[in-house]
Amino acid sequence: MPNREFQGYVNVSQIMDQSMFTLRANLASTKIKAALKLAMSVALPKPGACATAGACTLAWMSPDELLIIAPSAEAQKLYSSLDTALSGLHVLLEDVSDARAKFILTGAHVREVLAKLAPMDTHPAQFPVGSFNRTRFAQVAGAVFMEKDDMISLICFRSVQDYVFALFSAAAAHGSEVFQ
Amino acid sequence: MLILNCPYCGRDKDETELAAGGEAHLTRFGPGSSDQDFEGYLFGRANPKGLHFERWRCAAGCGKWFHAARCTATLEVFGTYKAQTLEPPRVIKDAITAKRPGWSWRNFS
Repeated sequence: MPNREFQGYVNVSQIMDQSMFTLRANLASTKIKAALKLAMSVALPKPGACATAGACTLAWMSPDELLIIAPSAEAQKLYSSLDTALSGLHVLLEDVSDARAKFILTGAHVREVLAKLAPMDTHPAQFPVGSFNRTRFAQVAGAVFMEKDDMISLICFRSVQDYVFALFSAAAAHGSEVFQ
Repeated sequence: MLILNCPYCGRDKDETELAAGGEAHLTRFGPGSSDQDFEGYLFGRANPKGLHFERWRCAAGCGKWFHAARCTATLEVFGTYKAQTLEPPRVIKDAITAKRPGWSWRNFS
Protein backbone atom coordinates (compact mmCIF):
# COMPACT_ATOMS: atom_id res chain seq x y z
CA MET A 1 0.00 0.00 0.00
CA PRO A 2 1.42 3.42 -0.90
CA ASN A 3 1.80 6.15 1.70
CA ARG A 4 -1.50 7.95 1.86
CA GLU A 5 -1.91 11.55 2.68
CA PHE A 6 -4.67 14.01 3.46
CA GLN A 7 -4.20 17.75 3.07
CA GLY A 8 -6.30 19.87 5.38
CA TYR A 9 -5.58 22.63 7.85
CA VAL A 10 -3.45 19.90 9.39
CA ASN A 11 -1.89 17.26 7.14
CA VAL A 12 -2.39 13.55 7.90
CA SER A 13 -0.07 10.99 6.38
CA GLN A 14 0.55 7.32 6.93
CA ILE A 15 4.12 6.15 7.39
CA MET A 16 4.63 2.68 5.95
CA ASP A 17 8.34 1.91 6.26
CA GLN A 18 8.38 1.62 10.06
CA SER A 19 9.09 -1.43 12.15
CA MET A 20 7.94 -1.83 15.74
CA PHE A 21 9.02 -4.13 18.49
CA THR A 22 7.29 -4.71 21.78
CA LEU A 23 9.56 -5.31 24.73
CA ARG A 24 7.98 -6.58 27.92
CA ALA A 25 10.38 -6.68 30.83
CA ASN A 26 10.92 -5.37 34.32
CA LEU A 27 11.99 -1.86 33.33
CA ALA A 28 13.19 -1.14 36.87
CA SER A 29 15.83 -3.86 36.60
CA THR A 30 19.38 -2.57 36.23
CA LYS A 31 20.29 -5.53 34.00
CA ILE A 32 17.50 -4.65 31.55
CA LYS A 33 18.52 -0.99 31.58
CA ALA A 34 22.14 -1.92 30.91
CA ALA A 35 21.18 -4.29 28.08
CA LEU A 36 19.05 -1.63 26.38
CA LYS A 37 21.81 0.93 26.76
CA LEU A 38 24.21 -1.54 25.17
CA ALA A 39 21.92 -2.39 22.24
CA MET A 40 20.53 1.07 21.48
CA SER A 41 22.90 3.44 23.34
CA VAL A 42 19.96 5.29 24.83
CA ALA A 43 18.64 5.56 28.38
CA LEU A 44 15.18 4.27 29.19
CA PRO A 45 12.39 6.80 28.65
CA LYS A 46 10.65 8.20 31.71
CA PRO A 47 6.99 7.26 32.29
CA GLY A 48 4.79 9.11 29.81
CA ALA A 49 7.70 10.03 27.57
CA CYS A 50 9.75 8.89 24.61
CA ALA A 51 13.48 8.57 24.16
CA THR A 52 15.03 8.89 20.72
CA ALA A 53 18.26 7.38 19.50
CA GLY A 54 19.00 8.41 15.92
CA ALA A 55 16.03 7.32 13.83
CA CYS A 56 14.75 4.96 16.55
CA THR A 57 12.21 5.81 19.21
CA LEU A 58 11.64 4.11 22.55
CA ALA A 59 8.18 4.74 23.92
CA TRP A 60 7.11 4.07 27.51
CA MET A 61 3.91 2.03 27.21
CA SER A 62 3.45 0.82 30.78
CA PRO A 63 5.66 0.01 33.81
CA ASP A 64 6.69 -3.23 32.10
CA GLU A 65 6.40 -2.46 28.42
CA LEU A 66 8.35 -0.47 25.85
CA LEU A 67 7.55 0.09 22.20
CA ILE A 68 10.59 0.40 19.96
CA ILE A 69 9.98 2.11 16.63
CA ALA A 70 12.66 1.99 13.94
CA PRO A 71 12.88 2.51 10.18
CA SER A 72 12.39 -0.83 8.44
CA ALA A 73 15.84 -0.60 6.84
CA GLU A 74 17.52 -0.72 10.27
CA ALA A 75 15.01 -2.99 11.96
CA GLN A 76 16.62 -6.38 11.35
CA LYS A 77 19.97 -5.21 12.70
CA LEU A 78 18.35 -3.57 15.71
CA TYR A 79 16.27 -6.64 16.47
CA SER A 80 19.28 -8.93 16.49
CA SER A 81 21.35 -6.57 18.64
CA LEU A 82 18.47 -6.30 21.13
CA ASP A 83 17.97 -10.05 21.05
CA THR A 84 21.66 -10.60 21.79
CA ALA A 85 21.85 -7.97 24.53
CA LEU A 86 18.74 -9.31 26.28
CA SER A 87 19.52 -13.01 25.96
CA GLY A 88 19.31 -14.87 29.25
CA LEU A 89 17.11 -12.18 30.84
CA HIS A 90 13.43 -12.63 31.61
CA VAL A 91 11.95 -10.62 28.74
CA LEU A 92 9.64 -10.84 25.77
CA LEU A 93 10.80 -9.18 22.56
CA GLU A 94 8.35 -9.41 19.69
CA ASP A 95 8.21 -7.91 16.22
CA VAL A 96 4.79 -6.25 16.01
CA SER A 97 5.44 -4.23 12.83
CA ASP A 98 2.56 -5.86 10.98
CA ALA A 99 0.15 -5.34 13.87
CA ARG A 100 0.42 -1.59 14.07
CA ALA A 101 0.03 1.42 11.80
CA LYS A 102 1.67 4.80 12.18
CA PHE A 103 0.36 8.19 11.12
CA ILE A 104 1.86 11.65 11.29
CA LEU A 105 -0.02 14.90 11.79
CA THR A 106 1.77 18.07 10.75
CA GLY A 107 0.70 21.68 10.97
CA ALA A 108 0.37 24.51 13.44
CA HIS A 109 -2.90 23.21 14.86
CA VAL A 110 -2.01 19.57 15.51
CA ARG A 111 -2.91 19.85 19.20
CA GLU A 112 -6.40 21.07 18.30
CA VAL A 113 -7.02 18.18 15.89
CA LEU A 114 -5.85 15.68 18.48
CA ALA A 115 -8.03 17.27 21.16
CA LYS A 116 -11.10 16.71 18.97
CA LEU A 117 -10.63 12.95 19.04
CA ALA A 118 -8.76 11.96 22.20
CA PRO A 119 -9.97 12.55 25.79
CA MET A 120 -6.66 14.01 26.91
CA ASP A 121 -5.22 17.39 27.80
CA THR A 122 -3.21 18.50 24.77
CA HIS A 123 -2.08 21.80 26.29
CA PRO A 124 1.70 22.28 25.94
CA ALA A 125 2.00 22.55 29.74
CA GLN A 126 0.40 19.13 30.21
CA PHE A 127 1.69 17.46 27.06
CA PRO A 128 5.05 19.00 26.13
CA VAL A 129 7.23 17.99 23.19
CA GLY A 130 8.67 14.53 23.87
CA SER A 131 5.57 13.29 25.71
CA PHE A 132 3.95 9.98 24.92
CA ASN A 133 0.45 8.94 25.89
CA ARG A 134 -1.73 5.92 25.28
CA THR A 135 -5.33 6.88 24.88
CA ARG A 136 -8.20 6.37 22.47
CA PHE A 137 -9.11 8.03 19.18
CA ALA A 138 -12.91 8.18 19.16
CA GLN A 139 -13.74 4.46 19.26
CA VAL A 140 -10.33 2.78 19.12
CA ALA A 141 -7.20 2.52 21.26
CA GLY A 142 -4.12 4.38 20.11
CA ALA A 143 -0.98 6.16 21.21
CA VAL A 144 0.27 9.68 20.71
CA PHE A 145 3.85 10.91 20.54
CA MET A 146 4.40 14.66 20.58
CA GLU A 147 7.45 14.87 18.33
CA LYS A 148 7.58 18.62 17.71
CA ASP A 149 5.26 21.54 18.38
CA ASP A 150 3.80 21.11 14.91
CA MET A 151 4.17 17.35 14.50
CA ILE A 152 2.46 14.43 16.22
CA SER A 153 2.93 10.71 15.58
CA LEU A 154 -0.06 8.43 16.08
CA ILE A 155 0.03 4.69 16.49
CA CYS A 156 -2.97 2.40 16.23
CA PHE A 157 -3.72 -1.20 15.37
CA ARG A 158 -3.46 -1.98 11.66
CA SER A 159 -6.94 -3.49 11.66
CA VAL A 160 -8.38 -0.02 12.37
CA GLN A 161 -5.99 2.01 10.20
CA ASP A 162 -8.64 2.98 7.63
CA TYR A 163 -10.93 4.16 10.41
CA VAL A 164 -8.19 6.20 12.08
CA PHE A 165 -7.09 7.73 8.78
CA ALA A 166 -10.67 8.73 7.93
CA LEU A 167 -11.23 10.01 11.47
CA PHE A 168 -8.22 12.31 11.49
CA SER A 169 -8.81 13.39 7.89
CA ALA A 170 -12.30 14.56 8.84
CA ALA A 171 -11.02 16.31 11.97
CA ALA A 172 -8.26 18.02 9.96
CA ALA A 173 -10.41 19.05 6.99
CA HIS A 174 -10.52 22.68 5.90
CA GLY A 175 -13.56 24.36 7.38
CA SER A 176 -13.48 22.29 10.59
CA GLU A 177 -11.16 24.65 12.46
CA VAL A 178 -12.31 25.26 16.02
CA PHE A 179 -10.44 28.57 16.41
CA GLN A 180 -10.25 30.77 13.34
CA MET B 1 -17.57 12.95 34.06
CA LEU B 2 -15.20 11.03 36.27
CA ILE B 3 -11.47 11.62 35.88
CA LEU B 4 -9.04 9.38 37.76
CA ASN B 5 -5.27 9.61 37.91
CA CYS B 6 -3.67 6.27 37.09
CA PRO B 7 -0.96 5.62 39.70
CA TYR B 8 1.04 3.49 37.24
CA CYS B 9 1.31 5.80 34.22
CA GLY B 10 0.60 9.00 36.15
CA ARG B 11 -1.88 10.28 33.58
CA ASP B 12 -5.31 11.69 34.30
CA LYS B 13 -7.68 9.29 32.62
CA ASP B 14 -11.18 10.06 31.52
CA GLU B 15 -13.93 7.66 32.54
CA THR B 16 -14.24 6.54 28.91
CA GLU B 17 -10.61 5.37 28.93
CA LEU B 18 -11.14 3.27 32.04
CA ALA B 19 -12.86 -0.03 32.71
CA ALA B 20 -14.73 -0.38 36.00
CA GLY B 21 -13.83 -3.45 38.04
CA GLY B 22 -16.28 -3.23 40.94
CA GLU B 23 -15.53 -3.25 44.64
CA ALA B 24 -11.91 -3.29 45.84
CA HIS B 25 -10.27 -5.15 48.71
CA LEU B 26 -12.28 -8.36 48.37
CA THR B 27 -11.04 -11.36 50.28
CA ARG B 28 -11.07 -14.43 48.09
CA PHE B 29 -12.76 -17.54 49.44
CA GLY B 30 -11.95 -20.47 47.19
CA PRO B 31 -11.95 -24.25 47.47
CA GLY B 32 -12.41 -25.51 51.03
CA SER B 33 -14.23 -22.40 52.24
CA SER B 34 -17.78 -22.49 53.60
CA ASP B 35 -20.70 -22.00 51.21
CA GLN B 36 -21.58 -18.78 52.99
CA ASP B 37 -18.09 -17.31 52.62
CA PHE B 38 -17.93 -18.35 48.96
CA GLU B 39 -21.30 -16.84 48.23
CA GLY B 40 -20.26 -13.62 49.94
CA TYR B 41 -17.05 -13.50 47.91
CA LEU B 42 -18.91 -14.04 44.64
CA PHE B 43 -22.00 -11.92 45.16
CA GLY B 44 -21.79 -9.89 48.38
CA ARG B 45 -20.97 -6.34 47.34
CA ALA B 46 -21.32 -3.10 49.22
CA ASN B 47 -23.42 -0.51 47.42
CA PRO B 48 -22.91 2.57 49.54
CA LYS B 49 -24.21 6.05 48.94
CA GLY B 50 -21.04 7.88 49.81
CA LEU B 51 -17.48 6.67 50.30
CA HIS B 52 -16.53 3.63 48.23
CA PHE B 53 -13.36 1.79 47.27
CA GLU B 54 -13.28 0.54 43.71
CA ARG B 55 -11.07 -1.20 41.20
CA TRP B 56 -10.46 0.46 37.85
CA ARG B 57 -8.37 -0.53 34.86
CA CYS B 58 -6.43 1.96 32.78
CA ALA B 59 -7.90 0.29 29.68
CA ALA B 60 -7.05 2.79 26.95
CA GLY B 61 -3.73 3.47 28.62
CA CYS B 62 -1.09 1.45 30.43
CA GLY B 63 -3.47 -1.47 31.00
CA LYS B 64 -2.90 -1.76 34.76
CA TRP B 65 -5.49 -2.29 37.49
CA PHE B 66 -5.56 0.28 40.27
CA HIS B 67 -7.77 1.25 43.19
CA ALA B 68 -9.71 4.43 43.72
CA ALA B 69 -11.38 5.90 46.81
CA ARG B 70 -14.29 8.11 45.83
CA CYS B 71 -17.75 9.22 46.85
CA THR B 72 -20.54 7.64 44.83
CA ALA B 73 -22.93 10.46 45.68
CA THR B 74 -20.82 13.52 44.83
CA LEU B 75 -18.27 11.84 42.49
CA GLU B 76 -15.54 13.43 44.64
CA VAL B 77 -12.28 11.48 44.27
CA PHE B 78 -10.21 11.14 47.45
CA GLY B 79 -7.30 9.45 45.72
CA THR B 80 -6.06 6.53 43.66
CA TYR B 81 -3.43 4.00 44.62
CA LYS B 82 -1.68 0.91 43.30
CA ALA B 83 -3.44 -2.42 43.66
CA GLN B 84 -0.54 -4.28 45.32
CA THR B 85 -1.91 -3.65 48.81
CA LEU B 86 -4.41 -5.20 51.20
CA GLU B 87 -5.71 -1.92 52.53
CA PRO B 88 -5.76 1.73 51.50
CA PRO B 89 -2.46 3.51 52.20
CA ARG B 90 -2.18 6.08 55.00
CA VAL B 91 -2.28 9.11 52.65
CA ILE B 92 -5.58 7.97 51.17
CA LYS B 93 -7.09 7.35 54.60
CA ASP B 94 -5.92 10.80 55.75
CA ALA B 95 -7.38 12.43 52.64
CA ILE B 96 -10.74 10.80 53.37
CA THR B 97 -10.61 11.73 57.07
CA ALA B 98 -10.01 15.37 56.11
CA LYS B 99 -13.25 15.42 54.08
CA ARG B 100 -15.36 12.79 55.86
CA PRO B 101 -14.35 12.68 59.56
CA GLY B 102 -15.32 9.45 61.29
CA TRP B 103 -15.71 7.50 58.04
CA SER B 104 -15.76 3.74 57.93
CA TRP B 105 -16.02 1.26 55.09
CA ARG B 106 -16.19 -2.49 55.76
CA ASN B 107 -13.20 -3.13 58.06
CA PHE B 108 -11.42 0.12 57.33
CA SER B 109 -11.78 3.42 59.12
